[in-house]
Amino acid sequence: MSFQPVKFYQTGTFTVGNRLLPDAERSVQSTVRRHNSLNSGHRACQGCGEALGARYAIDAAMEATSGQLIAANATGCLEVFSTPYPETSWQIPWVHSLFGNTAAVATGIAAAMRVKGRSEVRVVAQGGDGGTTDIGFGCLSGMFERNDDVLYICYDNGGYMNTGVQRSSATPPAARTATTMAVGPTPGNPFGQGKDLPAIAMAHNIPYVATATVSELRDLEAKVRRAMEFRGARYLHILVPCPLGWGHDSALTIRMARLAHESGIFPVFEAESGEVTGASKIRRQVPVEEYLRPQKRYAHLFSPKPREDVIRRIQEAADKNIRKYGLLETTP
Amino acid sequence: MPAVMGRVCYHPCEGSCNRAQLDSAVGINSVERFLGDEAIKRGWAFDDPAPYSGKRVLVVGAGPSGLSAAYHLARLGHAVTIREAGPMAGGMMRFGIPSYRLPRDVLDAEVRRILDLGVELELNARVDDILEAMADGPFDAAFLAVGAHIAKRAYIPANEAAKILDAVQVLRGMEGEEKPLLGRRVVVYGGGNTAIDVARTAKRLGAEEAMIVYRRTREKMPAHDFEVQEALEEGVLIKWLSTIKQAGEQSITIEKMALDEKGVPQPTGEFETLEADSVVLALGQDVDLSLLSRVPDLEVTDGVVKVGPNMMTSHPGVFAGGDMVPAERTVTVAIGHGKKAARHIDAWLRGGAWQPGEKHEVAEFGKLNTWYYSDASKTVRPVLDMQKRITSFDEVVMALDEGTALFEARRCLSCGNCFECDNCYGVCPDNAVIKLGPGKRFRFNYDYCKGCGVCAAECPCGAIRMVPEEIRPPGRAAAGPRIVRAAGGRGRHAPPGPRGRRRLSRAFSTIGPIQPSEREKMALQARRYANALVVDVAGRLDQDNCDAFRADLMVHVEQSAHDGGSVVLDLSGLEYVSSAGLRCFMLAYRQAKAQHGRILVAALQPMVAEIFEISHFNLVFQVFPTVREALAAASSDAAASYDKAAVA
Repeated sequence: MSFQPVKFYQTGTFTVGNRLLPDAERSVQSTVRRHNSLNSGHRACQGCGEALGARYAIDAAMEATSGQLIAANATGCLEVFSTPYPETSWQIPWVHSLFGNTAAVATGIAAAMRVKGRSEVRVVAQGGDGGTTDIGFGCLSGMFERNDDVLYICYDNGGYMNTGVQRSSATPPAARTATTMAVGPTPGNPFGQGKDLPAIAMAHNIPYVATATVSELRDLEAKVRRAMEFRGARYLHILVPCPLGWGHDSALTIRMARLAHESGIFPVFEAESGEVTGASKIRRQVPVEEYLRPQKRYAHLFSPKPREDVIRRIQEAADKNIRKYGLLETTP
Repeated sequence: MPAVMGRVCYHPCEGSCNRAQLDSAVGINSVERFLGDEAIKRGWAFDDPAPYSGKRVLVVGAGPSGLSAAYHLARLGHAVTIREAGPMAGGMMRFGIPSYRLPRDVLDAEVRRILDLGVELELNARVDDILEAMADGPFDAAFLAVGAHIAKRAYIPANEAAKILDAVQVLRGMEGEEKPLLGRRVVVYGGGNTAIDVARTAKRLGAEEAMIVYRRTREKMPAHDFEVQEALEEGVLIKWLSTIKQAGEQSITIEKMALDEKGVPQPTGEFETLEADSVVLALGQDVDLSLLSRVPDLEVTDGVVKVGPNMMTSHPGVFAGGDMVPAERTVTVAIGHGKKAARHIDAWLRGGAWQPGEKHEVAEFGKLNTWYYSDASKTVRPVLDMQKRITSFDEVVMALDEGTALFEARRCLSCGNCFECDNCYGVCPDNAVIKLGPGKRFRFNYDYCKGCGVCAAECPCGAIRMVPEEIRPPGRAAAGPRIVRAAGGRGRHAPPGPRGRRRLSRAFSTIGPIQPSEREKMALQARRYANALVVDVAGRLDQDNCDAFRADLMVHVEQSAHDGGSVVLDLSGLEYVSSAGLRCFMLAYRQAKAQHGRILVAALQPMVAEIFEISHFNLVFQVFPTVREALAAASSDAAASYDKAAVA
């Protein structure tokens, strides 16, 4: 892992800052010189995880590239809430692409920079899970395959949220959306084969693939920093809870991301050239029920009658993640 | 006296420490001791006291309470004299607490530091009459803390050869050259901390057997459990449910007791004989109140002096504390009395009354987000090995070193107190938390706060509270810059949870005048002066009411602001205008210009003036301090008409 927790200091490195740490060891987000790439005044909902994740990631990328950064942004929540014409919340050079071609647009920007000899200018492409796993998937795979010098960041909130919470290929099983209603014998999104995009990215053998959540800021920042050390195609998949689509209290955004990690639902790991190099361990393991219960999109699993069979299937998937990525601390 | 308290305090604070619910309480006591020892080692001194107040205070008794009061009074600028009846300062800390719990060099150093503040100490100076002593001084006030040094006796039939001593005698004797002779088998009668101290002392003096005889059970014993534990570890024997019936030369007779249904011990008639060379009575102590005998109207109940909430006796200027007033008899309480009394004495001397600051809300465990704290269990203090413990008076519990003390201090969760972990600053999706820099904490930017509550939910120490926003009663006119007040509640955050959220979102939907009843009130009032029309604009003008406002305003502009005519907007009642409202002004301006008329604005409130400046509207519009001046600029007829109306 590129992220190593420092020694015990009252709150360890679990908090955003730590007044007892030397400056160099503090997170980018704890400093007043952070870039605030996505600034105040945007129209995201109360407690938006994506707004938070985008600022975390892009601020860290700005720090890593000394401000030499251009972003291409797919259509989606992030674009809609941040740039209602003619205003913008972005404080970086920022290009809005179509829903499906962000990876291609970013590739073009990177090519232009190369032609101009501006190798210090780095390019980030970003989009939601819809623009990444569904609509933009072809362009993204092409970008990976050509190993274009772009960091692609997917903010995964598990659905098309700003258009009214429709299902995407990243919507988890059993979750209720506007297009997978909680009706019938198998309510919510069906248990499909899933579309594990980090694994697909790894299958392209690109230099760097990582997953992160908004609950582990330092881990996320370390991964962005690490990604910027590589040239070539890189992929970062960030879980960003959505109070609107998930139906949890807006104050619980970070808690939801934490529970997704602590339950094993969302494995946090990193991989180089197609091989997993490290995984973020579970500190206090919780059953998936604790993650599911505060979310209204899973309300049908608990009432009118509890669907223990469905919860068990979700738990099995989480347990598989735990086994696959070695998420539990092993006692030597 | 951190080095003393870090050793002898029973640390009730640790009993209520929130960390106990996570792993174990923070070792506050051991950290205090480390700091106290460090202060002695490095010779730390207090800051200079406040300037001399011109008042003199007499403190009677150099025990913990007296020393504490003297310290605080000296720091507050008073001249303090302590009169101590005994040969050395320290009171019960010296003559009651054995040196294996409180080494005397530590006590001496702490006393020295207080005296270095300029406190005068007179030893072997018994005060027989407090009023006389105060008049002689003369002293403006007195603090009495003479302690409780007279051992209580119980009648025990004994033959002449029986050796019966009391605990005060024994423990005091330990400070002299001649140590008390207790014999090989010592029986201590009583169940308090003093009984334990005597038994452990006897063991160290070479007694083969030290036995405590107590009439009730361990659960009912007033002694602190950890002291009982330490005594048992050292081989002290305890005979529960027993009373001494008779004492002979080499033996005593005890009677077994049984608890009745009310938990009161009752004699059983069953007797037992134990060998004993001496019996030490540790049955509590009384206060010597003779110095108060000439003070009129003094209230004394159960052998202790009654004091008011300000620690003053019924005689003005005479305060009292420590063991001689009704309270728990511990060094901790005594030192607290000294501090409390000093504050009241100071206020009394200055002709006022001391008001304690308001108590903070209790920061309960449930308010914390303990995810953010590293796992760390309590540092255990090293203990002297058993052989040394029972053969010497070396200190039993040893200190933390610098590393472990720091570790222990950093286990503190800082419940309810922001320690600037930057969590709120980091986790706000709207950058609405302003970091003010080291030591200054944070502020919320309510212009951008959406009230999601993530900051409050992720605050490790529960220092952020969500408060539902104040809802403005419909139709109420504004007074002062409402935006600050209206938005003020938004980020001050109520506890997360469904209920909190519901209230909050309701609060949200009513920011600004959006209720239909209120929207209707935007109908504009207009007054005509010659060729100028004055339109009153009041309340808040924003997204929610701008359409209605624009429609109304345009009618006036079309009718009045043409061919040299003017519309004067009287903004004296306008408390806030958003960008949507500014747009209305701009549209009106264009309309007037197209019709060869004019729009003038007058009487801006400070906030609206600022908004005009920021948006450069002050460069577009002609802005006047008053309506009169705006009318004068419109035309002389209009001003004249206004003046006439004003006279009328």
